[in-house]
Amino acid sequence: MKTLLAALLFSIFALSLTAQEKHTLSGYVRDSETGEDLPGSTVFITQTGSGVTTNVYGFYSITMPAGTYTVEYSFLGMQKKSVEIELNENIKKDIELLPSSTQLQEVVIESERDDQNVTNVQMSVEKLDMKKIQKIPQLLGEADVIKSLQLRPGVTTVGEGATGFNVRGGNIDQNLILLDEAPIFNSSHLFGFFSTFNPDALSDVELYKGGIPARYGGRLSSVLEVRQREGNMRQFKAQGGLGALFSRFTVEGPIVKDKLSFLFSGRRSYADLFLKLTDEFAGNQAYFYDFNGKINWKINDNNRVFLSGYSGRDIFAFDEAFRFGWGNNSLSLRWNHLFNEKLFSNFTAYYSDYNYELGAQVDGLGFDWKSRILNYNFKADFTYYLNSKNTLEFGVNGLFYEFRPGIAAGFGEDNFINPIKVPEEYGFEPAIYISNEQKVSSMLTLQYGLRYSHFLNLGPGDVNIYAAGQPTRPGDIVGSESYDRGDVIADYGGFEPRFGANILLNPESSVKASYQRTRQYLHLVSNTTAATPLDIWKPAGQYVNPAHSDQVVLGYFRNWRGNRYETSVEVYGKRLRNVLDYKNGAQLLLNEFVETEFLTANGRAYGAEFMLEKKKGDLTGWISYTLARTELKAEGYTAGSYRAVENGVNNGEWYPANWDKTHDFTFVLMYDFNKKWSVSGNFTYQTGRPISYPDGKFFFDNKALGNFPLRNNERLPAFHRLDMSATYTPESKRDDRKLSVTFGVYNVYARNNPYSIFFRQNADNPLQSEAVRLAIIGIPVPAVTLNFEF
Amino acid sequence: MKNISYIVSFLTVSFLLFSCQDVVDIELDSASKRLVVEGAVQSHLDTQFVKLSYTSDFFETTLPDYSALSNAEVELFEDNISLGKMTFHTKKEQFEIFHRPEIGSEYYIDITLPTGELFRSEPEELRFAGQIDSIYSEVDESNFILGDAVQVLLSTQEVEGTGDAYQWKVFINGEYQSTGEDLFFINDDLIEGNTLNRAPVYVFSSDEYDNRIEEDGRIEVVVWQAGITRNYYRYIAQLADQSFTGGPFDTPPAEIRSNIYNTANDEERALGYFYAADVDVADTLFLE
Repeated sequence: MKTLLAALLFSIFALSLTAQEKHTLSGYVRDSETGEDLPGSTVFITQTGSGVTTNVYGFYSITMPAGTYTVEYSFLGMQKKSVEIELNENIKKDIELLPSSTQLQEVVIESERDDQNVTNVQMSVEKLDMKKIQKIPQLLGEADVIKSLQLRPGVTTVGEGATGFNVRGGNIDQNLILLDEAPIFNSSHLFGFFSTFNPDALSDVELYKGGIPARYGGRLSSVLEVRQREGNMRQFKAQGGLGALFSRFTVEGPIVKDKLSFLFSGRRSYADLFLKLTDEFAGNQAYFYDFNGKINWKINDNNRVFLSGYSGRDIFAFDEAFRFGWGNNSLSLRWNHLFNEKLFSNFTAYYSDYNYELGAQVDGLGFDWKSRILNYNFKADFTYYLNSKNTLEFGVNGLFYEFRPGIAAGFGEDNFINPIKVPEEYGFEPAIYISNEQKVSSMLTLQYGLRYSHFLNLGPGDVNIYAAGQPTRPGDIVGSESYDRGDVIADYGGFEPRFGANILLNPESSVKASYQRTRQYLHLVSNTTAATPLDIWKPAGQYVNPAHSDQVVLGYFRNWRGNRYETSVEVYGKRLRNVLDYKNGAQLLLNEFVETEFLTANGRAYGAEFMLEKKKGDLTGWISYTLARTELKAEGYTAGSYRAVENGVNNGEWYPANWDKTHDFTFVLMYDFNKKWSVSGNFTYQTGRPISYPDGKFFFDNKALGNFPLRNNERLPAFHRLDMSATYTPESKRDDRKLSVTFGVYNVYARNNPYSIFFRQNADNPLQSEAVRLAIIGIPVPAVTLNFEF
Repeated sequence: MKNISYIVSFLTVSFLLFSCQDVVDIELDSASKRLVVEGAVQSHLDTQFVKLSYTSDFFETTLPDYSALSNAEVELFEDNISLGKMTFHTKKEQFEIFHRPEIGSEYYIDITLPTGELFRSEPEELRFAGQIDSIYSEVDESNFILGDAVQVLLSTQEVEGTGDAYQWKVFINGEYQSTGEDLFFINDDLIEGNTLNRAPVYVFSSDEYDNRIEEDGRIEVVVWQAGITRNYYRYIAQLADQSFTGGPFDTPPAEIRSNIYNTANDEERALGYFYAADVDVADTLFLE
């Protein structure tokens, strides 16, 4: 590994020596209407036939020999702009692009260069802008980031309404979800029916399924970057919507024109407001809300500061008897600084807090349970535009965690339950990385990098000592070791090499390959079918190893008819090491000795993803198909008198993961009939998820019980569903006022998709056992949503 | 802490506004028959029992044939000393032996099948259950799930020292309440050394209460307080879990590991359990 690092540094050094008399063209690409940055815009030099894209802050930098160049700036949905530039010194050029109005759309589209799918070295990435997300029909008509991503190849879920998402065989805790760079631990409202991201407040989302750049780390399977909008720098705007479940409102505008802008956005469900009108349910509460805010300050050409915050919460309460709530809060402060036209930097400090509470009270007897994860981070990321062929990225990151998994205490004068405190844990995760994107020739682009991450599980804390050295059972505890504040309880670390290559076969097709190693020092502790908001996160420590994963991907990308159609095939193979699994019958809730329920598992996932997408014209959409397999193997351990065969899963053989879906077919279509009417629909077909079925019955304690010999030995019937919507946008006399109504139906043909099949005794004849299908949404769900903008 | 998972299950159901459940026909594999053992030594009884049977196909609608293994041999051991062979009682279809167990002693059984295979249970210690100090009923008008409900409450003192676990069994009009929801058990992690005042062991909804009233205008309630081992506690905790397996937040079902193994290959396990329990029976409560 050391030689690799040395070679990398040497090649960078060698590259800088060869630099000749050259100048740099740099600047920002922005939206002329709002003044917001346009990350991912293309800056193309006609004479050299090469180009760059703007980074996530809309900044670009390109170094070329002195001369006169025609530079084309373009961004999807914006009019292309061509500029003649005489490059005889370093030039700073900020460009503003005009949105392409409907009339101009055809013309602009013909000329637009949008071949990043083929030319970019990055592969396995799903980028969705909010306009697209807002067109996809969803449950109750509410545009949803995560549900939209689940329609892309390689992204699945265990079932309708389940929280989170699974990427290429990874569990839901293997996704790094970043909202303006701050991690979000629970991305769901209402247990999983809706995601915590308010589409009105966002600019775009980007999901990396493979070939993850070295600047990201901490999770095995994917990175979801969710970026909030910056707020309009030119004029005040408001938009919002009234839906069946919740309403939204966003306001944005300049505080100081072109200097300082703000954006505030909120959503709240309002079913509970109707509850208050009834006598019976007046005391009940069931609602969720979220609030996004951002302030964006352009201090000068070289310095910008962003302050963004998020707060969201779900609350369910039945009078005083019961109360259940969870939420995320995060605050991030970022400073973009341009050291010079070649060195761009971003410094981020953030704070994030995920917490939940559960309380119940019956007859003066009750208990309260509170749990929290706090997260503080500082990071510095640098982009060095070395020359037109090399772009270097490097940075450092320091992340401090505080896990407070739970205090549950009884109260009331008759309370007889002792308080339970699952011990707090502290962790520090520093990381450092460097990577280079190198255009080796007009045909070959490479991206190679190395990340080193480390994790320290820190005191104070007590670690139980088990007789056999392995956390077997609470009864085997022979003592405990105490650690003071700051003492290192466990210490892990390792390199994470990343590699990507793009061989451009011709301007319309390319072959890409990538390899990544990722490390993860936190595990979500959950053995239920869908994760609950009550699940705890467990850091690597004395008895829990960090996980790591390797993934290789090979892909072929081809665009057709002037980039109107994009096609791709990606084949991936992935290996997971030391992921958490659980013994059969594990009790994970509020368990002080939860380590005794853990098993270490390995995983393997492989698959092929096929994609055909039409991005332009009146008719847009995609067809995708994924063939995949994900399996786990938990062999169990041998320690003392405990043997692997007793505590492993399925006799230590490979078994399919809960989220393993062999076939996944998706069809998404959006059609604009005219300026007033547009329709969209999506159809999904998936193999049913694995499930455990009994192979026999026995009686014990007067109960008929199934015997379940193996975990996930069968599959549910296939899942398929059609959703449709139509949007009517009446003509508005004023350009800046817009109103639209969307009519939608979710699950159009009322498919009873089984979430699970479970077994019970017939209520009238206990000797009769029966299989029961549970469909989460078994009826067509209509919805009307009103959206406005002024 | 089982109650937390019940609350979560309840919540799940409440919020699945569009959900539906229906009974479906599915085909299941049928495995070869496995031995099923249900037996116990209980301190308040003079006669101890063991029932033997085989597993059936899952959708079979008859009770197991408990006499199919009447020619097996079952031997009970106390502190490694044989108490003799148990005899098959043809009417009750179970093996029985006359013996009063003692607190602190360890019990196991040997089962010799007609095939010659020998199954043995891992030893179970008979643990002191303490005593039910009082038992009474109360009307609870504010039960948030059941509305007007009648609760059966008891008071008891948890036995000093860790490692204890308890199960309460409720008999209404002589009928053992055996559904998954009726299972009530706790271990002393949560209650070590405490006085349990007003511990609710059974709750009648008002409808159930009305339906249960006997001809004499009252309901008879008998409660057993059983001191059980941690191992058996874990077994019934999993039994309870398997009563709630369909929802998104339920644990998928899995084989519940028995304490009875084949002595020739201890990885071959029977199903079921042989347990030991000290039992204190509360004064019979009549609800009128």
